[in-house]
Amino acid sequence: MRVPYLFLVPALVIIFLALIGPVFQSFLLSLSEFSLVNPSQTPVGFQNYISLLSDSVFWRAIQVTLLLVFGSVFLEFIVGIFLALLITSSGQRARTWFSSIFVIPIAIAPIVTGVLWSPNSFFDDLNTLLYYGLSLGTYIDTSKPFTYYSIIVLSDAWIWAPLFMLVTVAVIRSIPKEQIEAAEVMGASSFTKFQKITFPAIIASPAIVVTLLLRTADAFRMFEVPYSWNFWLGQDSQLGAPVDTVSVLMWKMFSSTLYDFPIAQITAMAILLLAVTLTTCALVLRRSSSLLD
Amino acid sequence: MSSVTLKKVSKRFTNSDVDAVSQVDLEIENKEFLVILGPSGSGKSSLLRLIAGLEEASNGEVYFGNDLMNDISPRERDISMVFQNFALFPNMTVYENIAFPIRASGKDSTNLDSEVKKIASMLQIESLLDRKPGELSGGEQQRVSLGRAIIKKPKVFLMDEPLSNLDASLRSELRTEIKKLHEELGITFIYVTHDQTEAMSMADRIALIKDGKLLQVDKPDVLYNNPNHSWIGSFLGMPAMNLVNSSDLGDSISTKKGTTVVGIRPENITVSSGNSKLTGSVISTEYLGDSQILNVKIANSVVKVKVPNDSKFSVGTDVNLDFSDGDLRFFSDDGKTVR
Ligand SMILES: Nc1ncnc2c1ncn2[C@@H]1O[C@H](COP(=O)(O)OP(=O)(O)O)[C@@H](O)[C@H]1O
Ligand SMILES: [Mg+2]
Repeated sequence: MRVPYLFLVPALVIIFLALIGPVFQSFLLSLSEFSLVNPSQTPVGFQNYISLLSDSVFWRAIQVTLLLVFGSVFLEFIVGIFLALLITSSGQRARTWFSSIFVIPIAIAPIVTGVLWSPNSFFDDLNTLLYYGLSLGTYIDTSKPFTYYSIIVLSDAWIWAPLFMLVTVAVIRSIPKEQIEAAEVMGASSFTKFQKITFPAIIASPAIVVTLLLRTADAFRMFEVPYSWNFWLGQDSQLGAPVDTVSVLMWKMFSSTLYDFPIAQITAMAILLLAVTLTTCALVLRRSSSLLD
Repeated sequence: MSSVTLKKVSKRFTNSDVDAVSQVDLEIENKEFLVILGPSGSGKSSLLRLIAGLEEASNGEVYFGNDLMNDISPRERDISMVFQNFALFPNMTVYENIAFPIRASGKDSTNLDSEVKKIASMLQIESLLDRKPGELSGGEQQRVSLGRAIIKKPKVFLMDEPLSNLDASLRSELRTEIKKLHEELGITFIYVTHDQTEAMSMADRIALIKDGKLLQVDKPDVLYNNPNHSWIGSFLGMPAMNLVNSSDLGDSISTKKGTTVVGIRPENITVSSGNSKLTGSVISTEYLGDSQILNVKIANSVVKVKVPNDSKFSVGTDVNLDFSDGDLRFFSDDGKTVR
């Protein structure tokens, strides 16, 4: 036995107890029958998974989750870059103002954002203004799937674009000034400078890749915004409402009196969500590391 | 191909209360190799960046030929620039880096491929064309950056300490190549450095700058032999010119009227056994390989004398110093040369 490895043991024990243990335990739980009706934990193999994967409500939730994750992470990345360009290209004073205003959404609780952007508060007023106030005769119909998915994506991007903005500003600041000046002297226009130097530096930056990964992993757990939309679309208690992400679905199964607290099934969903999240992050990482070299 | 003229050009940065460049008048001829030389912080880069248009002059005018350039952006000035830290684009290959100025400025690119290859072979980097800058050594990176700068055949070629980040042997190698490039291209070169060896070996003329002011613009040998200011004498040469208060020299030397400081270069003094003009005692010696420096104390001054590397002098002995009067330079109180 090599002595140095002994010193790793305490750390490994903690990691196992705190991180790997619970996941492993959940996995075991998901392989059993366990609920309020059946509190004795009886092993059932992959039965929970099979019933989940054959359930259209679950598939729908997966689809909604993926749509919202990719839609909002992509949008907040793009908007973040635009805001960062606005900040880095403006003067000292404007810069201070912009950056303090732009970061406000991060500080607002997501559930509040969900309510703020929901039909009842924001769009009611906006539609009143459009329809009656301006007599345009049109209004935004928030019950159309395309509309409400867009608004949910938009409101999540509204929360998180400032994060990308902050990271992107740091990346732009770290580009050597001489590179930009060299390009300028060589005859490059502002657009060429952005296209050939700034943008490649942004997407090749490890900080951006890490932020993308964190945001992607976090977005899979998106809950507050779609949750608040459940009430406006009038299907609040029903499983399989059109805005149910996987996490909203799990919450409904927990809290609804229609179900007998099916904890093993919920755990199986959590494990599947974890698998999807990890796979996506691995793909993002692979894609971006091929960009890096 | 263009001459460059600066008329009373000054630059003061915001938040600063001194001019980084002060009242500079300078005429650079077409096809000339002009070196801007000065200690660190003297305003060399600022001056070059004013010519490039990367900084805006607070005062004065910059002309290329007869065209006023003050309001022309860098991308329209038809210049190229080489930076101390190379400033290559890290995400592009060597080929793309060299081709960049043509592609970015939308110039005619029909012969681009052969042009890039010609330049690469001229700079001996053909085998590196597919690599990224991160995979190159410092010397190779600077060659690429030279290639990128020459491809668009600018009117004026600007270089800001291009060799300062390289080691000594590469420096002398690239010095020769830059000189050769200048002959082949036949365009105006403006080269900034703090290294007097670079300046001496490459320049047609040297513009010596200190604290933002031009002190003297002349051919290297004139600058070295006939500096118009005592500071130039003490800046150029290794070791620099001896500057001795004339009161320390006694009556043995006849000086011009108004002289307070007498200058003479260490290599112009010999140790003689016969006739001598000055006598002093050796206080220390420095071995330099190809030669040796004696520090000789005369009254309150220490005079450096360059002697052959095989001569033997022990500390404390008295030596007789001889020199020809023609090698003496005379400076007044304010450092100006007395003519
Ligand atoms: N962007 C800037 N803002 C303020 N001061 C500057 C700036 N660039 C240079 N300076 C100042 O101007 C002086 C000359 O600098 P520089 O031209 O870089 O000198 P050199 O290239 O000879 O070392 C220095 O005192 C430096 O601190
Ligand atoms: Mg400099």
